[in-house]
Amino acid sequence: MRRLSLILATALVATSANPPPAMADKKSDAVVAGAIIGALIAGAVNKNRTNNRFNYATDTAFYPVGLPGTTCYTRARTCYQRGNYSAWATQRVFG
Amino acid sequence: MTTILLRVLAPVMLAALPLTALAEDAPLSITMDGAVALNASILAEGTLSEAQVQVLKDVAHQKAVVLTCDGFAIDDARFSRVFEAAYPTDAEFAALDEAGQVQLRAVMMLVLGTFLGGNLAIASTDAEAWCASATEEKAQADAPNRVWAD
Repeated sequence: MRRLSLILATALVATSANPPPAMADKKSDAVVAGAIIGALIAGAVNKNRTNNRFNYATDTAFYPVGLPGTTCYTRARTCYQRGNYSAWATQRVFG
Repeated sequence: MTTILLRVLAPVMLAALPLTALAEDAPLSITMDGAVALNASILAEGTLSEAQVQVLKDVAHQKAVVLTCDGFAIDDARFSRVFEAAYPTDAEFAALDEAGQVQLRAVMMLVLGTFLGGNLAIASTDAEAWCASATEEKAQADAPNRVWAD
C-alpha cells in the first residue's frame, strides 16, 4: 500500500510513472478509500472556518531587507516574490 | 551627544527594519494562494504534519509551473527523494491499520491535488508574471524541496 501511494503521487506529479502492480489494490481497499475520501471532503465542507492562519486580510505583511520585491506574512509564515509564492524566500525568511 | 547620535543613527536603524503593513490590499494571486493553503491545511488536519504539507505545497507548485510555463521539467530522481523524505517510513506505514493507511494515502493525494489545482488557477490569472516569478525562483539553486530539472 505504501508503494502504491508513492506510485500515485508520482503519477500525479512526475513526468513518468511506473504502472501500478496488478495486486496493489483490492476492491475492499477501493471501498474503504471511497468512504474515507467522501468523509474527508464532506468534513472539510462542514468545517468551521476558525483557522485564520492564511487570512491575509488580517495578517501583517513585511518586506524583508535584502530581498527586493518580496512580501512576507507574519502569521502565515509565507513569502511571495512579485506576488507569487516563493519557497526559496519563505525558507530564507522563516527557516 | 545622545541627541546627535540618535539623529545620525535613526535613518540607518529605520532602513534596517523591514517595513510592515496590514495586508488588506494583498493582490489576487496572494489571497488565492492563502485560500488554497487554508483548505489544504483543513484537509491535512490530524493526518499530516505542517512539514509534510509544506513539501506537498512546494512539489505541487513546481508541477503547476511545469504545466504552465515553458522551460521547466520535473527531475524524477529529485522528486522521488523529496517525496520519500516527506512520506512515513515503511515501518511507520506498516504500523497503521488498513483504514489509517488509506486515510494517509487519500489525504496526501487530496492535499497534493488541492495545491496543484489551486496553483494552476492562480497561474491562469497572469501566466506571464507567474512564469517570470518561477524563472527567478529556479535561479535559486538552494531552494527547498526542489524537484525541477536544471
